[in-house]
Amino acid sequence: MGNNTIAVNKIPSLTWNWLKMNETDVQISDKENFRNEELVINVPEELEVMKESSDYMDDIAGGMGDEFVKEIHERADGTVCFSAGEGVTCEVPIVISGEYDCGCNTAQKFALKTAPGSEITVLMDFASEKGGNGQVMSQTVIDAGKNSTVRIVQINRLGEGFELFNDIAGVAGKEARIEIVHIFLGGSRTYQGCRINLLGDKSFVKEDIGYFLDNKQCLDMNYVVDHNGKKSESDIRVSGVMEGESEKLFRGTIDFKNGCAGSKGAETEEVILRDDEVINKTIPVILCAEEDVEGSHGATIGRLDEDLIFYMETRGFEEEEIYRLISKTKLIAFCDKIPDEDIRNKTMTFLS
Amino acid sequence: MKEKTKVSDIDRNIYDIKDEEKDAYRIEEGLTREIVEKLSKEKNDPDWMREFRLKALDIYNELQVPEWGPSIEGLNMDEIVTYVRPNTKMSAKWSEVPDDIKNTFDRLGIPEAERQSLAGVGAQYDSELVYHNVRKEVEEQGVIYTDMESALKGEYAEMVKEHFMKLVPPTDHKFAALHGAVWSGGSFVYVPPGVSVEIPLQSYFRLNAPGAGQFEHTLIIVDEGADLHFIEGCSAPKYNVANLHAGCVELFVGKGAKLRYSTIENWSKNMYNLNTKRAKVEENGRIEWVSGSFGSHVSYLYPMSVLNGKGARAEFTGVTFAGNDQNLDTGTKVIHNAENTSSYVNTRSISKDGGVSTFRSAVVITEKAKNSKSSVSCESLMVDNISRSDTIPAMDIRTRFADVGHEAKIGKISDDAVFYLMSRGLSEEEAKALIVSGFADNVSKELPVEYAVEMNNLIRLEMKGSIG
Repeated sequence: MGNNTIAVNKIPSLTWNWLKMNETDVQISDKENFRNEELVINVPEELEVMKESSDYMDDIAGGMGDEFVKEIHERADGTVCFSAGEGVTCEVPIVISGEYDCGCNTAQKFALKTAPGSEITVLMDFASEKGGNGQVMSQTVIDAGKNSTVRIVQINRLGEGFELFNDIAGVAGKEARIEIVHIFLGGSRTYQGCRINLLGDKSFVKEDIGYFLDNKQCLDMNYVVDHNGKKSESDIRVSGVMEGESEKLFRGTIDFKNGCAGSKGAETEEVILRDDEVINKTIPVILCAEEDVEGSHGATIGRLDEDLIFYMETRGFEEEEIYRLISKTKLIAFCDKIPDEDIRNKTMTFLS
Repeated sequence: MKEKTKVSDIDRNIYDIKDEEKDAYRIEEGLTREIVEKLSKEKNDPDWMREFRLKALDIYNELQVPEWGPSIEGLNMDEIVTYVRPNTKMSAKWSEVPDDIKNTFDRLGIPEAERQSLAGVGAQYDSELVYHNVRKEVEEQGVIYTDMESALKGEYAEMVKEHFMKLVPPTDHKFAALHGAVWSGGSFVYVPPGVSVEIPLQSYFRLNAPGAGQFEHTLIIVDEGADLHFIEGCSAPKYNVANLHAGCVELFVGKGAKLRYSTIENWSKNMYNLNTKRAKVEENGRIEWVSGSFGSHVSYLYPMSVLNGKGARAEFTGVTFAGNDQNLDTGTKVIHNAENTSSYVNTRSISKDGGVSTFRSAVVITEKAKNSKSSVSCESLMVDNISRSDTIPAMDIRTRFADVGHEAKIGKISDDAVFYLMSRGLSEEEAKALIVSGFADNVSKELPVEYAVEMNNLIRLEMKGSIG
């Protein structure tokens, strides 16, 4: 049994090496140690499910990088492809539940393809027993056709010994919308990549990322949005709470390519630090090769606003209680975005 | 209707006048052990400095060129002359400076500025200072302002040895090592405890020789409770060959002391500006950087503040203007390493005519820096769609008792604002220049009025031909 070391989550525009933010080295267990479990997948009947995706979808770049793509390709048993026909709107989400066994190493690939005017929602729940361990590799490739909508909600409530390597690669056509919700609660180490190419004019991506980290949990992220289409829009919102000796690295890049006139991109991040041993790293990047764009980034890191604390204190709350209350409220707001009551309740239980 | 204009290159007038080369000594091109030994001998270095240079050269040869910034492929160290001594000795009287050199500094307004608003001036021409003077009343306060060579060998030799390249060690990066190996010229300033220097000191660096490098070292020690404003200016005429500037600035700000370090950098557009500036600030001390970057072909410039004492503060105010054939990678680094420290960063960058400007920053709050605060604000303006503007800020926070805020914005000149100004009688070019000057006022309002005027003139020059 051995491990392969690969570099993941490389930031599109490098900075000083001493910050150790440019990329992250990870160890992936040998492919012989992977045993891909059968996933529980609930699919609305309007959708077509195929065992293979189109070849061109393999060329859509993700946030984790080429080395990861190569490794997952060797370990996964093909790709499960969900395809929505023209004008098809699914009222109920596709629910993919992975209740992973202890000691399990699993690799899975999904493809989502939406024809013009269609709409789908996918809920992926990475879960296991509390004390479980193993490696879960997952990749989702999205091809959102003209005027279609793709929503993805992914939740990490894996056991304390699990490592999750999760990648999203997407391209949005004209007036297409991609909405992503990430909720990171479990696992010992989570590596999350996500790259969306806003290729079509007036295409749109919204990414809501929420996390709660405790003990020695580590969360390493790389979110990239490429603005190619005119009047394309992106909105990345990150909100999290860190406790114990946890570590977090958020890389967020909005890349305005030449020709994406009229585009807008915004990143906001709020992090509440609740212990003195946490390591919180952030690198929000805006790259711009187009004059007629609006890009912005805002971050508040550390403590809650003094006015808010003062107000809450006047209502009778102690400071520690205020932090606990606000932190919980932020994460409950993310849980409300889960489009399945059972999984939402399980996530709330995991959180509490 | 106003006629559209197209100017292929701006008129840099006074900055581009070249003096005939009358060097007294010019070392051969390239960088070898023999060249470094020869340079050290020419400068009559003490033994420790000779050994220091050779060790730095070894480090230079071991380190790699950074892979994260603008390309410096056009810089070939084998073609760079690391030491050019002008045909004169340093003097404290302008009348003793050779006419051609004096005329250059006259055109740049240095002697006039000295008469009107400076407490002391150092003027470096190529690798050596040609003029150095400080007002008598400042001298009487016990302020030491002299050239580095004199300090290295005179009564401050021990102080220099104690501080020289301790903040920026040659191992820091490849061009810090290069500086350690071939440094020459620069200024040494010591402000005794409690002394407040009411008007600024200034060093001006002029590089005239084509294909040469300038490697001046500035060492400033502001002792407990003292106060100083130091201004650095630099320029060079444009040549067809690459020139290199790899200076080093080390600032030691004592307990309760305050230092403002202002720079208007206007190197020619064949210059590779790979400069390193760093300040260490003790308890309740304060460093203020005011930085205007206008010139050079490629710049790597990130003044760094190490807040090492409780209550230490850093402010960085910067503007970068990248025009045609320029790739300016600028920003700042702040290390909060003690309790109750604070930092405030406020920058503007402007990209025009194919220029690339990158704002790069790092704010690190260590576990020791409880109750520290940091605020970073950067705004970028794109004047056309053939230019580029990138923002790469990094934050590393390691204590819960910290407040960190960051905001970045990027956008274009408002059409409405241009239209309004044109309706008041301004041409489109004038309107845009005015808007850009206003955009950069975070820096200009921090500068003494003469320098703010110079900066606004530079912006107007750079904005020429922006309509086309």
